[in-house]
Amino acid sequence: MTSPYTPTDHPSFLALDRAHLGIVAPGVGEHLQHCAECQRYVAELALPVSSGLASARAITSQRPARKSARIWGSGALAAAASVTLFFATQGEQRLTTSDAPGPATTEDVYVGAKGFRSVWVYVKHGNETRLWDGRQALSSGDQVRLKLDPGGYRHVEVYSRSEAEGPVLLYKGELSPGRVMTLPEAWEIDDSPLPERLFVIFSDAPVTPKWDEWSAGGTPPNVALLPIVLPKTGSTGAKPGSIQP
Amino acid sequence: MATIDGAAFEDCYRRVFPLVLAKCRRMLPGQSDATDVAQEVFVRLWREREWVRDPQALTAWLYRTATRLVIDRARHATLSQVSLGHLQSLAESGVDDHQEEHFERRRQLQAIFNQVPEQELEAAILNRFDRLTQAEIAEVLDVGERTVRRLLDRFDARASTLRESC
Repeated sequence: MTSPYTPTDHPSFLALDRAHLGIVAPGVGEHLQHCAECQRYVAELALPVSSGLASARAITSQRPARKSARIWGSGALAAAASVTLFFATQGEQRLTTSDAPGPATTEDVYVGAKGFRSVWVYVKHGNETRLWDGRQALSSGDQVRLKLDPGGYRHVEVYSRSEAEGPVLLYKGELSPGRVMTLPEAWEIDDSPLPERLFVIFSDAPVTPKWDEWSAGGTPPNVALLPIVLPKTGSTGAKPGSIQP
Repeated sequence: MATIDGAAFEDCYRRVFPLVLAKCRRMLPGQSDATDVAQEVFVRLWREREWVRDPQALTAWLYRTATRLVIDRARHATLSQVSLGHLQSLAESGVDDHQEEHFERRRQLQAIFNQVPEQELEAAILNRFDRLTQAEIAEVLDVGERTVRRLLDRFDARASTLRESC
């Protein structure tokens, strides 16, 4: 069977893009000398762009990614220093759900391109609330709240999980694809010396987590699992926190 | 552009973003859809910059990533109707898919679009919208040319069946 797609006499756009970047495949250079249409395409690639550059600049302020390193959602670190949110202090048990009033809106400090599922962690310590930097150790009594960019996902579940207790569902709810939201609940850090391990599961519908399989990277195509490790002060052998991509 | 790092990123953005945006516009005629996906591609590029260093690999990575993001968004129905209609034209043959009398047909096309394996869609998009040869598709998708031929043949068969059933 042959493809119904009619081949053209023009090089592919990939070949033209590469020519724009200085890699000219055999025949492409000669074609470009005679084809006004392809000349026009390559010339347009050289036109200056301004759209999205602010987002790009914000992204450059982040650390390089590592395959197993911390990933922060959508360039939010650049805005971290200026973010001040307010949680009501409540909750006494380990990662106790709080009915604290919601934080101030953060839409105005969103930096970066929307569309890819991401998680921000906000920590309230004393009277100060700041965006977690991915390393800071948390103290007993600190409160944690999550802000999510669902990307294209429609459902989220948040679990706390420890070897002693197993997974504990902290929150589940629906999401509006593409709309950043701050979860209505905050959780308080207990006095256990062990790091807090949160798991954010994005999906299209409620799911039953398969922890071993999913933690090994075997999530279904319509599910994204983001582990978050929050270290605590004073804990023995504490390691830097992390958010897996 | 030996590497993409630090201060080089802005220069990379100015040089590469136009081609990413052009690639996205070929797939998504909805203006905001194309810009949104193009920016997301750059978020990912920045995260992966340690592994995407030379222009040859960079362009292949950008084509692969942009195509997959578009498919993902189409399946999650987070694209405009204009863009979705254009993507559905992959399975059509010279039919004006904007005519209202083809609404039912387009609904069926959407269903088929959601059912076609992702790699078949990737190959079809790269072939039809981006004019990539089978060898280029093989490079972008990191598969053999025989696999590309098989993917395109299967997609063509599905599209043909669809056109006959509509």
